[in-house]
Amino acid sequence: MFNGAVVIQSRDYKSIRASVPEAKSPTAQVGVGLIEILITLFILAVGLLGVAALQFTGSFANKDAISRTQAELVAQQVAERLRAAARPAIQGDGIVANDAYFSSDNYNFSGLNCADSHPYKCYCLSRPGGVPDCEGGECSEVEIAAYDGWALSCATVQTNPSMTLNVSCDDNDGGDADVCSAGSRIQITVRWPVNNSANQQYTLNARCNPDSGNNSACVYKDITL
Amino acid sequence: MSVREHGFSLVELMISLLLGAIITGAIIQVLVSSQVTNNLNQAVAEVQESGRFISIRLTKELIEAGRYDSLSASIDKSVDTVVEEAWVQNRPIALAGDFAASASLGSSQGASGANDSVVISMLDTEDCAGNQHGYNGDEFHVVNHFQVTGEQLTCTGYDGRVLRGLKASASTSSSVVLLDNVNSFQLQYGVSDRAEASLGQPITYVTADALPALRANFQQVVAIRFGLLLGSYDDQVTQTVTPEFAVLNEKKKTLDKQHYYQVFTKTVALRNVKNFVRSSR
Repeated sequence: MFNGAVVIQSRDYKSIRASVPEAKSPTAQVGVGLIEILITLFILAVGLLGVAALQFTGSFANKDAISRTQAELVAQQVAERLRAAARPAIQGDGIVANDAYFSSDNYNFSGLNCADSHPYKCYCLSRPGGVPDCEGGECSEVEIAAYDGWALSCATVQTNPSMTLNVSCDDNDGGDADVCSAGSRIQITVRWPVNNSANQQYTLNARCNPDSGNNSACVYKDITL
Repeated sequence: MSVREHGFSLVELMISLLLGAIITGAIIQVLVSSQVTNNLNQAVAEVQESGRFISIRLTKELIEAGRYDSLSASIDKSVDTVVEEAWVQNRPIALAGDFAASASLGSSQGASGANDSVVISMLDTEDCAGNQHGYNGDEFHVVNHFQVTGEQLTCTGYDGRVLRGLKASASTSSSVVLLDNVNSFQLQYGVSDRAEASLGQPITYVTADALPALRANFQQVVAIRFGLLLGSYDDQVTQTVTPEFAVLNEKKKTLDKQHYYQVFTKTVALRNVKNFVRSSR
C-alpha cells in the first residue's frame, strides 16, 4: 500500500515536471504548494465571511422582531387604558377619554431628567418624583393620564430604549370642549428607528415617518373608544 | 529519482498545518458563536411567545369578571339567581372572607415582592380548567383563582355556589397550569370613586390588601393590571449586563445573568363592573 502511494505521487510530480520543465530543484515545489494553500485559504475566508454576515443579518432581524412584538403589546395596552379611563361624553354619543391622554407632554418621559443613558433604568425602576402617585392616593383624571402615560412609556422602552409612543386624535367635533370627542378616531403609534443596510432593507411607511428625514418602523393602531 | 519521490518539504508541511489550524479555528469559532446566538434567539422567542400567550389568556379570563346576565336562558336556577347576580356584581374580585365555605380564598398581595393572586367571580358555563361542576353546560357562578405555585402560574376553578355554602360539591375542583418560568406575578386594582360619584373610571391603583377598606367605602374594582416577569429555561444564555426589572408597584428586582428576562404588563378594563358602577350612580 505504502509503495503504491509513493508511485502515484511520483507520477503526479512527473506530470507537473513535464509542464514545468525548468523546475528541477525541490525549492521550486515549495512555491507551488504554498500558492495552492493560499488560494484555498482565500476561498475559505470568503465563505466564512458569508457565514459571519448571515449571523449579523439574523441578529438584526431578531432585534427587529423583538421591537415589533413589544410595540404591538404596548399599543394594545394603550387602547385598553384609554378604555379603562373613559367616561360617558357630555356632548355627543359615546365615551371619551380625558384631554391629557392626547398630550405629548405625558409620554416618553417628557419633562423628566436623568443622567443614565438607558431610559428604563432611569425612570422605570422606581416612580420618578414628577409622576403623580396614583398608587398611594386618589388621582384626578389628568393625574391618572400622566401616571398612565409614564407606565406606558416604561413598557415602550423596556426592550428597545429608542422606542417612542405617540397618541393622537382626529377630533370629529371641533365645536365641543373635548380634544377627542365621542366617536373620534384615535391613532396610537409606537415607533422605533431602523437602519437600512445591504442585508436588511426596510420599506419606510409614511405613517411611521411623518417628518422628512425620519427613518423609523412602527406599529400603528387606529381605534375608536 | 530520490528527489522526485519527495512529497512536501518539512517547511511546506508546517506552513500548511499552521494555515489549516487557523482555518479550522475560524470555523469552530463561527460554529460556537452561532450556537450562542441560536440559544439566545431561542430563549427570546420562548419568553416572548409565553408572554404573548399569557397576556391574551389572562385578558380573556379577567375581562369577564363581574359578568352576570340574569336574562340568559341557560342559567341553572337551582339557587336564587337574583341574590347571586347581586353577589357577583358587587364582588367581582373576591376577597378573603367572602366565601362561607372557604373563608381563606380571596385575592392576596404577596409581602415584599412575593407573588400575588387574584380570585374573580362571573357567570359562565365552565371554569378556567374546563370543569362544568355537574351543570352540564348550563351557566353558574364560576370562581377562578389565579396564583403562582413554584414557578408555575396555575388557575383553579370553583363552583361559587359551593363556596358560598349553598350546596354540596358535585365534583372536585381542578387546577390547570397556564405557564412555566414565572419569576414574578403582580397585580394592581384600579378602584373607582364612591358609587354615587363615579363615572366608572379608576381613581387609584392599589394592591389587594387595600381592597377590603375600599369596598367597605363602596368603591369598586373597575380595572385590573397584571405584570408578569418571565424568564427563559436554564442554561440557555449568558447575559453581559445584570438584568434589573420593576414589576408594577414592586421594588426593582436584580436578577441573574443566566436567563433572559422580560416583563409583560397589561391593564384590563372590567367592562361589566364599569357599567355596573356607572349605572348605579
